[in-house]
Amino acid sequence: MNNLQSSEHRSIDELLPWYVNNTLDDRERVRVERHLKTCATCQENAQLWSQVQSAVRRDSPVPFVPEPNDSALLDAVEKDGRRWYADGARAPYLVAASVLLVITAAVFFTVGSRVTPETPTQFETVTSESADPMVQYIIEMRFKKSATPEQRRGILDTLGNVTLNTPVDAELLTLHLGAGSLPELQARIDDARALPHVIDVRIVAVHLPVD
Amino acid sequence: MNEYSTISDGDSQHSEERDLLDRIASQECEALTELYRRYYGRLFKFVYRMTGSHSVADELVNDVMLIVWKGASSFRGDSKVSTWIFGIAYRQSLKRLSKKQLSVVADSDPDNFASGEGRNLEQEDWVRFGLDALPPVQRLTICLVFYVGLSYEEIAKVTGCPVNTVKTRMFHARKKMKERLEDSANAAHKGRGVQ
Repeated sequence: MNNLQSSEHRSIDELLPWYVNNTLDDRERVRVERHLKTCATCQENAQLWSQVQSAVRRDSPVPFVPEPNDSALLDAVEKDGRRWYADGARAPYLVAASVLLVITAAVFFTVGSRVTPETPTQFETVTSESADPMVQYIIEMRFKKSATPEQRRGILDTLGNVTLNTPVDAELLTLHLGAGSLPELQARIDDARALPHVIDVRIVAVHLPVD
Repeated sequence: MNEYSTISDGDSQHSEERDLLDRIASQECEALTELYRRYYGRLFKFVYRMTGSHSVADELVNDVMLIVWKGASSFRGDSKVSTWIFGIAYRQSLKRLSKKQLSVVADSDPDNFASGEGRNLEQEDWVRFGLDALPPVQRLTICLVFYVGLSYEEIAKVTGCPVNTVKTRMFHARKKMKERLEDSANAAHKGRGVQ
């Protein structure tokens, strides 16, 4: 397969889920169908996506769907309306409370910053434009020299879906890791520390995606 | 329709649903109830697949509809109503998953697959077993493609990602699923060999 064919193959391969769900436009559909006639790999992949579609659309994984009960929703709507109403009625008090809060905060930060020693942050926070909405943690990990690449990969798998920024056999590995919450991540890291071949694992930064 | 597609997903209800949204924007509770009844089943199944919990799914559907109630006036009409509503469901599910680390319905113990005990697995069970291995973002994307039936441009809008990211997520999801299915198939093969 030459470069041109390979890039066409990759581009068709990426369209297959939408060929299967029937949302491609006519031009794309014709392109995919032409390619499918001659590409066994794409035929196999389209078949897999077709099975995924059937599995996802079949009802059996959901044991039962309860009858819609709109009373809870209407209660929430009513509460929401009532809250807004109440907020409006209490507006003068809310303004007074806000002013008091601002004054208190100002006094606290002015006086408090002089007497309280500065607490260092646990780790750095970095932000960048990212398509992925998940918070990522940047981790440094040190293995024993005797650890083989396979052993290292096996241990990295226990941390979850990691993206390595350094070669797997590097002395100090840096990696990105998505995690739901910090305590949950710390628990995973504690587990990894206890594994053979691992010298240390630590979080060095949290990466926050920005739009 | 091509040979691989199984369900056509026409949205002839769009203008009716648009009217309902306009009425919801004018704070008509009856319109909200109507939309809720229309979407409850689909939304419930969508979020249930992500959370694996009936009570959480029910709660999430209500959260989604409350957001629809509050935000109906902000709907600009540049996508289908269903795309907008499932976009809200997607973000709410992700938020819930990242807070509590709920997992999908986990009837996917690899040992059961390896030994073949107690279950006569069909192809779709294997596929579901593969789906369970995916991270939430990839599972949600698969649901948006095959359950909700969105195009890649619509998914990009719903998720706020570039189209290429959407395509790449599906590519990696398939790769991961295939790996898991191959591993289980090998394990099952070995298991049979021992017996």
